[in-house]
Amino acid sequence: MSGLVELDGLEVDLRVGGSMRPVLSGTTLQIGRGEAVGLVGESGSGKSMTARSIARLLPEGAEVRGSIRFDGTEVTSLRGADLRAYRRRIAMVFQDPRAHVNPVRSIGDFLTEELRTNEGVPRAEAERRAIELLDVVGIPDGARRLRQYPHELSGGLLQRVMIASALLSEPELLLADEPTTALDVTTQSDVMALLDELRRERGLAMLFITHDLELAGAVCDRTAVMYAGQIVEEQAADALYTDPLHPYTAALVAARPDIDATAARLAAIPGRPLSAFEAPPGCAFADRCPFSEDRCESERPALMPIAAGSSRCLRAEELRGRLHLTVSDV
Amino acid sequence: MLIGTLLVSSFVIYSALYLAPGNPIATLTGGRTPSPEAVRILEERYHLNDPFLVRYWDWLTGVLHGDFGVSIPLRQDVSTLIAERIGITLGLVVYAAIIILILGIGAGILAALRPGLIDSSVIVASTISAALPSFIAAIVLLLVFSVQLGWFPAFGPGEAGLDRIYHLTLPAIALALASLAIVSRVTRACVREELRREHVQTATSRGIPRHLVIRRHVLRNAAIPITTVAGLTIASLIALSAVVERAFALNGLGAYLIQAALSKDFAVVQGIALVLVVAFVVTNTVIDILYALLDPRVKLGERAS
Ligand SMILES: Nc1ncnc2c1ncn2[C@@H]1O[C@H](COP(=O)(O)OP(=O)(O)O)[C@@H](O)[C@H]1O
Ligand SMILES: [Mg+2]
Repeated sequence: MSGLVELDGLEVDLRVGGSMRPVLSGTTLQIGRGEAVGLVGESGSGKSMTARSIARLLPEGAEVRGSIRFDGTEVTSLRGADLRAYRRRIAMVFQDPRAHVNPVRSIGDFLTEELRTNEGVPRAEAERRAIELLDVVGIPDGARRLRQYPHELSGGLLQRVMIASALLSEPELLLADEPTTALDVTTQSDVMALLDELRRERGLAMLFITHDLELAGAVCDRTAVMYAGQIVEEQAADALYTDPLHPYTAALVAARPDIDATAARLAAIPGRPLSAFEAPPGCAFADRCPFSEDRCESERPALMPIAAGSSRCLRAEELRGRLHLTVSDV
Repeated sequence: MLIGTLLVSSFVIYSALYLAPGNPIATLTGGRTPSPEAVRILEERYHLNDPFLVRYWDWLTGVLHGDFGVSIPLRQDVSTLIAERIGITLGLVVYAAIIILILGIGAGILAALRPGLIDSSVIVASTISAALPSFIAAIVLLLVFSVQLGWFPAFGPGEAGLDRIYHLTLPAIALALASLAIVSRVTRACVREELRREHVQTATSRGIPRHLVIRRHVLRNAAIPITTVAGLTIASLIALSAVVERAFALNGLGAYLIQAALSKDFAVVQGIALVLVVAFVVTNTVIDILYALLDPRVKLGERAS
């Protein structure tokens, strides 16, 4: 599979007050053409920042080191017209459609803006295409919808509009940042199924961000697990459960809410998640890890290939095959 | 709604002056004690003995027909006295409003979009002008631009036309200065706020050129709060104009209102106060309409606070 996106040792510092605070510290990740990669992790681990780095949408004053390549081109140094041309090849579906759609412009404006502005498509033609795509995402009567304003649509409908808008520009990569988290439970699975189906049909690559391991497993080819601004494990989505390569993944698997889950199981990971700026010199997960040893506190592990994936655990080889059993008993 | 506001304010204006101390007959006779016969004639002519509500009703119906009553000391129609002066006040307020809209909003937008030197200069300039009360600003402008440099005339409204604009320039600037500061700061804050919105990020992420993102998403949305603040600020100029008119010896409504109040010319005070209130209410209504036009989430008549 040829690489479409390659993040290599990506480090991002954000300005907080007067000082710089790391939010990503050495994120390495590949997404192939047409491949769906899941990115999971607790909130604050840097998932959104990873997606925003790829889209070049970091907050003002952000410092970026390391490399992001898209289709062989270095993205971190793009400027002006080149940057805009690059952005047209990717599309983003955000977590909160209500905040991400301009409330005072019509749905029609929102859907057709890119086509009309960047590709010079005449309004009538752009609207025809928009209506067609609204139909594809399950919104009939598109002509009427185009005249409506965001506040007249429910969150679920608005997210469908957002998906339609992402597809309208025919991108090569979809960055979906928790696209269903803000929706109510009944619409979540509909929207997710729609996104998954449309992506497969069109052979789009996708970075799918979620904190729901199971959901990532269902729609992605591979899943990467993020902790404190780093990828700590990455492998085929379904192997995460049966053969986790990092104690943190094993803990996440154990902690995920099941049908028969109890409050006690939800709290299976002791301690609280760290952000990148709080991470100690050694392994970031060491103080919450049931397997940590002295060297884990002092030595920062690198992301090493193991089995069909990779892991950022010093004891990965040694613990292999025991993790998913042991952690659920903790 | 509009009519209700106007009715209530007309009633308040009328009754406040009715209750105000001072006797119009004493004013008329210049402090001498008039004969009982003279008092009776005067009271009859000016209906001074009718019950309050009857007098209010007479006044109100008169006003609706363009008759604001008669100035007792001047023995002239109040409507004529107002008509002679309204042009100057209107000119002054509109002139100041244009300055505020162009310079205030312009400077605010520039400051928001160009952090650094431009931003800091706008902040410093607006801090200074916000701290200057308009009568001090008037005196400073007079000293510098009329007395020292001789660029502008110091007094009077000039002839109608271009000369009027020339004469009103310094007064309009004096009137605009403090509001200019408010409007530019609010504009800067609103534009900054909109720049940070997630939907602006969405537009950027789609590769829309920055100047279009700014125009269609940042400025378009910031226009909503800016309209409200700029509109209210301009409406307040109607009341502030009195100070500036006096400083520049302009024969406008505001200056005349003060003079009439000092000479207890109640009919004139009532008339001018009513005109000013109507102007204020109309300005506010225009803001409401603009607001509803700019924001599809708002239905006419329910401006969000
Ligand atoms: N605008 C910002 N300025 C400074 N720090 C930020 C900003 N946005 C997010 N962060 C910090 O960056 C880290 C990663 O955030 P994020 O990528 O949003 O996490 P996730 O999406 O995994 O929940 C967090 O520690 C968060 O507090
Ligand atoms: Mg996030």
